[in-house]
Amino acid sequence: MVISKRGLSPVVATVLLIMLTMVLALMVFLWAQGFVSEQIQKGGTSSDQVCQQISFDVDSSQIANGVNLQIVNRGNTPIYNFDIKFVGTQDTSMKNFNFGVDVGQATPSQVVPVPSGITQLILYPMILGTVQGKKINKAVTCLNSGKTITLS
Amino acid sequence: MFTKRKRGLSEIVAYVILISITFAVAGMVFAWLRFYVTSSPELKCEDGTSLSLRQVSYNCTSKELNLTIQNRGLFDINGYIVRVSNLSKANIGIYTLNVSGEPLSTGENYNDYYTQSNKTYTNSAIKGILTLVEIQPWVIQGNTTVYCQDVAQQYLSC
Repeated sequence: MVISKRGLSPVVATVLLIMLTMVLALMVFLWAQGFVSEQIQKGGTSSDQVCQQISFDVDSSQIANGVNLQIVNRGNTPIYNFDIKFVGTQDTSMKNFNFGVDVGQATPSQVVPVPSGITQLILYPMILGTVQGKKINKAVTCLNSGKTITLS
Repeated sequence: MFTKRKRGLSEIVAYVILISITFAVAGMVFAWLRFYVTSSPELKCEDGTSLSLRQVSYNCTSKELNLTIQNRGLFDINGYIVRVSNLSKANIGIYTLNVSGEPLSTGENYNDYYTQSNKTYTNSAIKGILTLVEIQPWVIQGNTTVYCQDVAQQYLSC
């Protein structure tokens, strides 16, 4: 005597399994996306690549309690701001300075106050990008494009 | 004889979970890598694009600056920027005298001059004696002005 059990057709079962798999994959993807840091782009290019294309030169002269900077932007990326790292014998600090240099332009004089005990300044250019997928502007510091000024 | 059975997931459920995790990871890697494969080409001049200051003369009294600029590169340029400095021990030009320049074909020379009273000392902030002059070529690519990295400099002395 043959006992037949009721069940789904194999075709229907396959389709259901595939659909279930794809839905699960989408759910895991959306969940994991929250752990990935937001990506910033400028002109369709990632901010990391834009930072590599930045080119600028700096001259400096020491004045009382500070440094007078002259900066020229030789590249094709506008520099929005600068983050300047103050390196001293005892400690190190970073401060943002709200001056930029547009493409093809030069800044003839920009005074930066320097605390005592500082031996080096490192200028990091900042670019203004947009967060991918959102209409939000965000400034990015190009930590691999810094220029060092050694103080006497 | 009884075989001892351990509890576990059904094989089908296990396969579904494994495949869905694989698809999810593949999707994340694709989304992440796609961001780094840019479709926007880097704005840069062709290698071999360069200008030189063939001759420079500066009169400290009349403040007249004469330049003979030559395109010694392999490509035509559409213009150049002239910058100067009046600081001692200057390494960069900080005042812009001219942002347009002149288009130069390969091998072509051009005589350019600047005086305080005449042509283009348009930047009134420039005071004193000039110590450095530099020129930076630029080209047009599509509709974009692209500044070349090759800069020619010359120190000035009275």
